[in-house]
Formats: sequence, C-alpha cells, structure tokens
Amino acid sequence: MAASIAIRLIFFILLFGCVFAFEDDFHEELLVKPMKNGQVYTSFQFTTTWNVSVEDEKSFEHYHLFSKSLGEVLSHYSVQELHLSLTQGLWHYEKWGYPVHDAPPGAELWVWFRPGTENIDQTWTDLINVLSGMFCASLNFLDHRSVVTPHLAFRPTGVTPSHHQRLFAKNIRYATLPNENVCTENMTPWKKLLPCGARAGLTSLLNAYKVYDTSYHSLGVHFRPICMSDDCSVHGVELVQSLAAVFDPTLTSRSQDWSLKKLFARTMSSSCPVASSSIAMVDLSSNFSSPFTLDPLPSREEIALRGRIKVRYAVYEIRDFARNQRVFNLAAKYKSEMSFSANEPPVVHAQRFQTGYGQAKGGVMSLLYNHHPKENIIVNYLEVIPWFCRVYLHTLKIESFDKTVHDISANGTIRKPMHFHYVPGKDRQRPYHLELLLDLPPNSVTRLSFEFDRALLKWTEYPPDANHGFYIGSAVISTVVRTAKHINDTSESFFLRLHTETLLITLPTPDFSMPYNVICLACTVVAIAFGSIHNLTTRQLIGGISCGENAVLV
Amino acid sequence: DFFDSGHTNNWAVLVDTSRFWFNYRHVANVLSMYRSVKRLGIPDSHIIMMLADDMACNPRNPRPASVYNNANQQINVYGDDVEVDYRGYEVTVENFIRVMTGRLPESTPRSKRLLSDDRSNILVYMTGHGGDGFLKFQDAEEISNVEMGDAFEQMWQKRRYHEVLYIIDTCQAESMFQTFYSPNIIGIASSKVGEDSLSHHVDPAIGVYIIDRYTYFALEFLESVTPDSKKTLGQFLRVCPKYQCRSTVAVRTDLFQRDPEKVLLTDFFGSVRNVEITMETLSLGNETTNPQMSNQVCRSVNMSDCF
Amino acid sequence: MEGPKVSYRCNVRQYFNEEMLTYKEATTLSSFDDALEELKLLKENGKYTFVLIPEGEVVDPGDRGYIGRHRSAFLRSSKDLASLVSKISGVMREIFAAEKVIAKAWNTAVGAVHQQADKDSMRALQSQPNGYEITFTLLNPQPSHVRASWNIQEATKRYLSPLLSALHDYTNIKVKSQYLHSTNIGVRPKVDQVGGYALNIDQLPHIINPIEAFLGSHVSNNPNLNFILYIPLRDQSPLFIYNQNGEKVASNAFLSPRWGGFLVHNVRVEENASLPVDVQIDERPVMQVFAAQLRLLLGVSPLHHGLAVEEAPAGNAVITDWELDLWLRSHCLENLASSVATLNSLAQLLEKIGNIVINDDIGREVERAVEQIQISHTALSQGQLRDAYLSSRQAKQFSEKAFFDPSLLELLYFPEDQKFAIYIPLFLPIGIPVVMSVLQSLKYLRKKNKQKME
Repeated sequence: MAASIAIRLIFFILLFGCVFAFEDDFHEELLVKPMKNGQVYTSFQFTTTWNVSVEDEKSFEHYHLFSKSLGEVLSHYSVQELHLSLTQGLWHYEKWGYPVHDAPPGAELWVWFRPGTENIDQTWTDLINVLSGMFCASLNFLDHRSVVTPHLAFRPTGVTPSHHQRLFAKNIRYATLPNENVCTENMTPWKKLLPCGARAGLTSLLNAYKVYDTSYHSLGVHFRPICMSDDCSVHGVELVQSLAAVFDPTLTSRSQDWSLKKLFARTMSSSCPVASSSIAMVDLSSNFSSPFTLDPLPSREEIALRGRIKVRYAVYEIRDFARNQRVFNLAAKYKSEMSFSANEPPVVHAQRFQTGYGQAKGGVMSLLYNHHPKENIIVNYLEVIPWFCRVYLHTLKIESFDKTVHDISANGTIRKPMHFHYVPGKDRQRPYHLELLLDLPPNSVTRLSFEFDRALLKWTEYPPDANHGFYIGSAVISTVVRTAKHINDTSESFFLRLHTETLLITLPTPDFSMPYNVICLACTVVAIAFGSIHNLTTRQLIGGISCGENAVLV
Repeated sequence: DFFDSGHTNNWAVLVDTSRFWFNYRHVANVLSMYRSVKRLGIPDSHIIMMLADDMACNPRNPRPASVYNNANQQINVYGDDVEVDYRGYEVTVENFIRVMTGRLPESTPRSKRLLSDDRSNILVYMTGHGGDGFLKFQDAEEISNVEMGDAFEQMWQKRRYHEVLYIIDTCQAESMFQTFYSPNIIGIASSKVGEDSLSHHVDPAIGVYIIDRYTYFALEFLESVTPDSKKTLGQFLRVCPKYQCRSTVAVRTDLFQRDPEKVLLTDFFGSVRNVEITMETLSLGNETTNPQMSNQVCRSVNMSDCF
Repeated sequence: MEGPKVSYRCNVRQYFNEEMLTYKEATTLSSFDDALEELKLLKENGKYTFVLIPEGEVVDPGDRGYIGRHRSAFLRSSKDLASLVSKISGVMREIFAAEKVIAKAWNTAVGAVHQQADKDSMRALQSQPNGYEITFTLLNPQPSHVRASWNIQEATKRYLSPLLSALHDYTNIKVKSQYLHSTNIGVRPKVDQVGGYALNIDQLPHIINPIEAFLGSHVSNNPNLNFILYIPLRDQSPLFIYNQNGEKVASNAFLSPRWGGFLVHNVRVEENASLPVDVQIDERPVMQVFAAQLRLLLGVSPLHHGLAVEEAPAGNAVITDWELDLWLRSHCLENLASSVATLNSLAQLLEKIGNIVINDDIGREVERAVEQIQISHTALSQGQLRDAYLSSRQAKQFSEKAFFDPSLLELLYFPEDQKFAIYIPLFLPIGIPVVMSVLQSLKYLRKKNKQKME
C-alpha cells in the first residue's frame, strides 16, 4: 500500500518536475546568386525538422513549430513523402545553370504513401482535394486521367521504411498540371505554414508584388522522413518550404547594382525569434567576370567543394545584424556598368518541342545534351502524355549526334535504351507513360522523337476556352552527375533532376458558337429530303398519253 | 452581451462568372466585395470566392499581383492576403449549386464547403454577363433564375441559413431574384429587367473597363464602414441612385422579415461575434485527492491516467 | 410536430443494510453520495434516487436539499408530505429531467421561420453525430520576449479525461494543440487607471477574426472548438478584460458562442531579465477556465431553474452523471427532431422540384433512418437513454447522408420556350407535308364513301 503511494508520488513529481522540451527546430536561409547576364537568382529555404517518426500517428496531434494544418493532412492520409511545387515560368538551364529545387511550369505533385496504405488511388484522390483546398490551387484536376506511377524516376529522397519493402515499392503517384496559374492566393496559405510571422526574419522579404513581377518564380513544399542520429536509429521528419525567383534588375535601371531593398522593396529589421539559425548567402562565382563588392561585409566566407569545382559563398548571420538593431539590406555594387557575359551551359540539359502539322497528327521531339568531354551520362527520361494524344510507340526513334554537328535533321547513330518501361494510355482513363534509361555519349546531342494522333474530344470535355489548346506536361530527366555546381555538399556525385518545356497543342476544336445554326441547317436538309421522299411515296403518279395536239388525261 | 441579432456567424459567397481579359471588371467587382467583407472581419475560412480567371498574375497585367478598382490605382482590391477557393475551370454552374445546397462529393475540402447552419447570415454576390432570367458562366453555360430559386429553397429546407443578402451586378439583374420563394432573403440587383448595367471607366494602361458602376459606388460606400459601424442596410439599399448608375437599382424585400432600416450592415458584411464573459470557472484539484474518480475514469486505455 | 411528452415512473423503498452502514460511516454529504454510488451494481442512465434523511443527522442536507454528483438527490424528510412531494417533483422536472430544456432543444431543432435571439440555444454547438474537435492554441505573438511553453498534452489527459471518457461512447472528440507565433489579436487595448491595459467588452468581438486565419482543420468537417491562451505583447502587459460595468473580469476570459474560448495570461517579467524569458505555464488555472467554457459550449449549460436547492459542483469530474443524462436526453431529442425535419423536407423537395432523380441508395438510407427513429422512440419511452441516443445519432447520420447525397442535383432545367425552339426547325417542315397528305387522304376517303353511298 505504502509502496504504491510512493510510486504514485514519484510519478507525480516526475511529471511536474520535467520541463517540457521542444522537439522541433526551424532554420531559414536565403541564397542570392547574381548571374553573369545581369539576372539575380534568389532562393529562400525554410526548414522545419521535428523529432517524431512519420509512422507515429499519435504525435501528429500536438504541434509546436511544425504547422498543424499540414501535419494533420500528412498524418491522416498516411504520407511518407510529399513534394509539391507551383511554378510560373520556365527555368533556362543553358543560361542559369541548375536551381536549388527543380520544378516544371505549373503544378507538380508527387507523393510516396506509407507501406500498408489501403486503396492508394482513393487516398490520392482525397489528398489532392485536401491540398487543393489548402493551397488554393486546382490540384483536384490531378485525377486518374493524369496520374502515373513512375518506375524509376522519382525515388524517395528521405528515409525509406526498412520493412514492408515490397508493399512500398508501388506506393508512389505523380501528376502535373502544366497550365496552373500561380499568384498571391497560393503564397498566402504557403506563408501560413511558416512558424514565424510575416514581420520577422526572412519572411518579411516576401513581397508578392515584387516576387510575382519576375520571369520565373516557384513555390515548393517538400516533406520527407530523415535520420535524426548518425546511425539512423532515430527518425524524424523534415519540412522544407522553398521559394525561388529570378529577378532582372537591369530592366528598370541603368546599372547592374542590386540590393534586397531594390529586389523585394523590403528590408529586414529583425530575425525570426523561433529560428535556430537564420542566414543569407551570396554566391560569388560571377565575381570573376563582373566584379562587385558587397555591403554590408559578410560574417564569413565559406567554400563549398562540389566534385572538382570550388564555389565561394559570402555568408551573413542575420541574427547578428538584428541584435545590433541594424537594418539588414544586402547590396552589391558593380565596378563597371552593365558588363555581361554569357554563361556556359551546364553539363546536362534538354530541350523539347512539337513537330508535325495539321490537326490530325503530331509529334514530340526532345534533345538531350551532354557537355561532359569524357564521360557517358546515364539519364532516366520520363514522359507523361495525356490520353488525347494517342502515342504510337513504334515511331520512337533515338539517335545521337556529335555536339559540333549543327544539322540534326540528318541521321545520327541509332541508340537503344538501356531499360524501357511503357504503360499505354487508355482513353479517358489513364495517360501514356514512357520511361527510358538512356546512355548519353560524351559531348553529344541525343534526339528522341515519337509521333501521336490527336483525338477528337466529346463536346462536354472541352474547357470554356477550348481554342487556347491543351497542355502536355514537361518531361523529367533524372541523372547522377559527377561534377555540378550545387550548394553545401561535398560528395563526389550529385543527383540532378531537369524538367523540359511544356507543350501546348491544338486539338481539333468545334465551333461552339454555332449550335443553333447547326440545328437549323441540319433540320432544313432533313426536311427537304423528307418532303421530297414523302411526296414521291404518297402521291399517285398518273401518266398522261398525248395524242397529237390535244393532250388527253386518262 | 451581443445576442440581439439572432445570428452567430457570417458567411460570404462571392462569384465571378466571366473569364478572359476583357472581363477584367467582373473580377475586380468580386475582389472589391472580398476586400470589404474581409476588412470588416469575415475570415477566409468563412468566405467562398469563385474567380473564373486570373487577372492579377495574368501576363497582360502591367502591375502584377494587383487588381485595381480605379485607373488612378487608388485601391488594390487583390491585396497580399487573398485566398481563392474555386478558380479557373472549377467555376461551373454545377459547383455553384453544389456549394449552395451542400451536396458536395465526400472528398471536397473544408475550405470549399459552405458549412453554414441555422444561425448563419450569408452574403451572396454574383457578377458577370446576364440576361432576362439567366446568368452566363464562363461563356459556356448558364444558370437560370428558377435553378437559383430552387437552390435557396433547398438551403431553407435544411435550415442552412438564418438570413441571406443576395447582391447581383449584371445586365437585367432583377430577373434573377424574381423567382425566389424562400423566406428571409433580401435581394439587391444593379439593374431592372430590360436595363443594362454599365461599366464605370476604362483604364488606358490596361485597355479594358476595370469596374462596374454599381460595385464601384457600393465599394465607395463600404470603404466608409468600420467593423463597429452602426450603418444600416437601408442606407446600403440607396447606394447608386439612377444618376450615378444609369440603371435603376432594384430591391426585393418582401421575403425579408426585418425592416432593412433597422438591420446593421455588419450583420451581413462583417463578422461581429457574440461574446460572453466567463463568470464561473470549474474548480479542479489534484487527481489523487479523489480516489473514487478512478472508477469512472479508468475506461481510458492508458493506465497512467488512473493514478 | 408536437413537443416531447415526459412521463415518470417512481417507486418508494426502505434502505438496504449496506446503505445504512455507509450512512453511519459518512461524514459529509458528498462522501455519502460517492459511497452510495459505489454500492450500485448497475449505473443506469435515466434512473434517479431521492434519499430522505431525518433532521439533525450528521449528513443533514438542510432545508434546501442537496443534489449530488451522481444520480441522487438528498432531501430532509419532514411530516409535511405535500411540500416534500412538491420539492421532489420540482427537482425531478426542473433539474434531472429538465423538461423546459429538452422542449426547447426539440423546438429549435425542428426549426422556426424566424429564429429569435436566444442565448442558450445559440451558445452551444448543435448536436453533431460525427463528433467534435477541440484545439488548444498558445498564442504568443512575441516569442522574442517570452518563450512560453505548456504541457497541454498531459494537462488534457489529466483534467479533461473524465469528460472525454464519459462522452467517449456517444460522440467522437479529438483533442489537438498548437503554438501560434505569427499573428496577434485584432484590437489595440487602451490604458487603464491602474497602469495596466484594458480590453473593453465592445472590443472583444473583434479580437478573434485575425487569429481565425490560422485555426481550423483541413482534414475533417466536424465543428472545431478553439481555446486560445493569449500572452500579451511586452508593451501591452498586464492586460485585463473589463466588463460592461467597468470592472475587471476575474477569470480574464470570454467565450464566443459555437466557436470557443479566449483567456489572457499575463506573464510577469523582471526589469532586467535576459530576453527571451522562459516561462512554463501552470496548466491548472488555465484548464479550470477552459473546462468551464467547454462545458458551456458542449451544451452542459447551467439550468435556469428557480429552485432553492444546493448543487454539488462538478469539480474534477467536469461533468456530473445527471448532467450527462441531461446532455444525452436533449441531444437525443435534437437528433430525432432534425432527422424528422430532414426527411420531411426531403420529401417536400422531391415533390416540388420535379427534375430530381432519386437513387435506390438514397431510398435505403431513408428507410434506415426511419427504422432508427422508431427504435429510438421506443427506447426513449422505456427510459433507455443510452440506446435511444445511439439510435438517434444513427438516424441523424442516415438522414443527413440521404439529404446531402451528391447525386440529388437537378440541373436539367430547360425553360419551355427553349424546348419549343429546338424542336420546331425539325418538326415544322416535316409536319407540313404530313398534315397536308393526311388532309388529302381524308378528302379522298370521304369522296370514296360518298361514291359508295351513291
């Protein structure tokens, strides 16, 4: 009796005694990369890590820094990994290199579901509806007509479950919405997921009027389970929210100088109080060709080694500035006005365009470039073609040319893919899914092409602006490259994902303004025909015999 | 205590039915209403906004991420804190009727549902191209006044509203509420049957009309309303007389039980919540002083609950 | 539809020996009450005990009487039978059965043409068959000043679990919590006389709206009750709520009907303390306020009876047994009234609007709803409260499902003149020769007949 009271007391004391320690962490960082052609690439990254396992549903009820609205959704729909991006504009790889998070124009969503999830297709449908309400995007259109299960292209980026491997292998779904608009109404709910308010830290720079006045801007939400300890015995989850924008300060001013105030029309005067680190980095690679000086001076300089390339970064600790109550307005002053030079293209990039003419047939052609002088690069090429472009697989042609050859309409070396995965589409049920593993020879251009037939849709399937056309989403190229310019990673090889252009194709479209005219025309023809046949069949035809001049009717 | 009005929450359903750049003014109309309603307190979770096209980030917009109601850029009605629930191709007659009657598919998210109850005041604002007895949706389909009246009747049968303020700014707008037959609805139309509603002015920088007359003057009136204002609905009914609007504003009050002169404007446009001061608290002691509690409590799974 | 009719069954008996033993051991009325409850083999909803105790005993309930935390009431026995009986019937009808409350629940659920403002029916959430969500939020707009933390998970387990487990079989309540740093209240408090800051009662309605943007759940459509603990800004501390008479409110809290509660928690920070200050919030006073507000919002509201009788406060149990019975009873009637109203309106609608097509599934749901309503009626009339409530909940679910089925959409409205206009271009040109030839053949037949006759 006494022992149980004692145990109860101890329990009590322990409960009262322990101070509630938080298990999550928030970091924010900004990367500014001035490019040789005068444009400035800025990339925000807000990372929240939380020390709970993604399989533990009970912990997804009490939240601190991790957003409750997103956490509930991820837990309720048994999501292992989620990657959503909303982008407007096309990323020009040849001019700008590689971005931090690659995203195609429009909306892209790929989700890995936890092993043991029942009825993944229904869960996917529910999830896209919830996300469409959450991010004010029309993600509910990503239904069975546009979703595929990629074979090799979108492997998990986080920790995968050690058991149930076979149950897990097909739990991925991928879909894109290439014509999705991105505007302030998408940024508003995205901002609400951040633990810090709009007035403190890097979030205060996010001015929609300036960010959406750019040629490329992209919002991203990436969720994955991660290792919290070195031996990966303890798992946690990580949520990365990213925003990228490519500004063009030379459009509105005579000099190449830029500053945070000029780009965002805002400055930072405080740092986020709940952030454990808040840094800004400037990529100094273009300092050689068009030198500039930074003001204020950086807290330190770091060198990141990626493969064999050294990249120098100027790093600023924003909290030091906030503590001294200084306004943080990072500015760069260029020594000479408007000194541009061309960027050299990166190692791997691609282009895609339509071929053909008319409204019955068409074709798609992709050019994959490998600029590496010595090495072959193996790439995975994923194409998702909507069902109304009926692909003919036998027209698939893959040829390689030397990079110096300019006429690519000639015949090159025919290549066979190393691995081939094709799921033909079904009208109104699933799209065409083509995945190839290609070996790109060094210093070459590989041309990949195939043809399709354009379908005539039913009258109700046309959107209200049918004459605009229909979209084919970007092709995705995934590869591992030995040398690439990227951030803060010292490994020898890096994973790279590229997206090509989206294609806008015109399908045969009826003239919707004419339904009543058509009815009248058709009815007139039918009536005339009917009238004549009716007369012929119901009148008695009596012949007359003519005798001489007087015609007599008998 | 503020329990005078009989409603506990406010909802707003704002619908723009036109697409294409030359219908910029319809999007500006709806955003003007959105701005007023949000400024006066209705939260985004209680606003269902349907925009058939995106004007703010349209490539033709010389001032990205903003929609102005005035060529002098006086008020940016789009703002930087906006949430659109139905956008683009989702704005259809079917979706609108489903939202109003509540017959949405299972997986519809909460922000796209009208979760009103018998104590909700709802503001419904519609704008676009209309005619005698119909309203065009996206130049591809139309909703008729009979369907609209039936939709409200279905809402009434399930007591999904306490009172409704229905505002419509289209040509021949009055015809839309002539077929209403459910109680507690007050209707305001920007033009009578046989009249056209006119636009206000053109912005030379954009090249299209940027707002309609009725909504322009209504917004002007609403800008003077603060969340604790005592302005009445009767005053709002007299906004935009014939010399300003060039069309006659038609009003239908026979289904409405209260006198509009005595109804506060914030009953529909704002969200003045009732509050009640907490006078009593529950006295909770330490659990161990109540040993017999364990008989009732120990139905829970965790033994640690039953000290 | 008429209101509910209540009937009572009662019997009188002598005490049992065990009861006498506990009576002799009891020192206070509340311990006697608890001991008597332990003796009961079956704890049934809907059955109440009146214990008559002679005057002058240790546990004398006094003139007024005492209502325990379980289903017993204690009255002083007296020779005046008439007054005793009237007291018993008063307690039974006004408190245990609360006829007025359940009649009101029925009438509001049935629906009137224009609802008048009524505090009690507007404050509590309507009966929700699928459950509720309760979210506790710590709103700290200045985390650089005060780093507040609370162990809300443990606090809800410790203080709210009696309520949650009592309602566990009847409704599904989920409790969640979060911290909010990114927003603030929507009003600016004024300076009060004693150097603090004041929130007047007419500022209170506007506090909640900017916070609302960060509340709410995306995964469920159930109503959400939000309880917000607010830590004022550094230059608005200490912050107090004042009522309409200009007095400080002791609890420093208010509730908003059908929405939740708001509590201001002032933190004392030393002058030269290093910022941010770590504060561990003591959950007990906070939960005392929130639990009281939760009771009101769930519908366990105080009864406005005029009787002079002492009620045992709910205390740690958060809800007494007889309050639970009352909750079950009024919610059961609410469910039944709204199911019947829903089915009636479905029938009316289908008559009025001719274009709607009804599936067999909907018919089955309607049948199931009707079946459950009948089961619930019979259970209620036999006093089986628990079964009645569960059936009524199912009835409401089925009737709502039938009414809100997505397939009941009548979009095929074609105005008469449009139908006409579409068929005319085809049938008019076709019709003319047909009509002409019919006339011709009639003439021919008539001529033939005439010839025959001649």
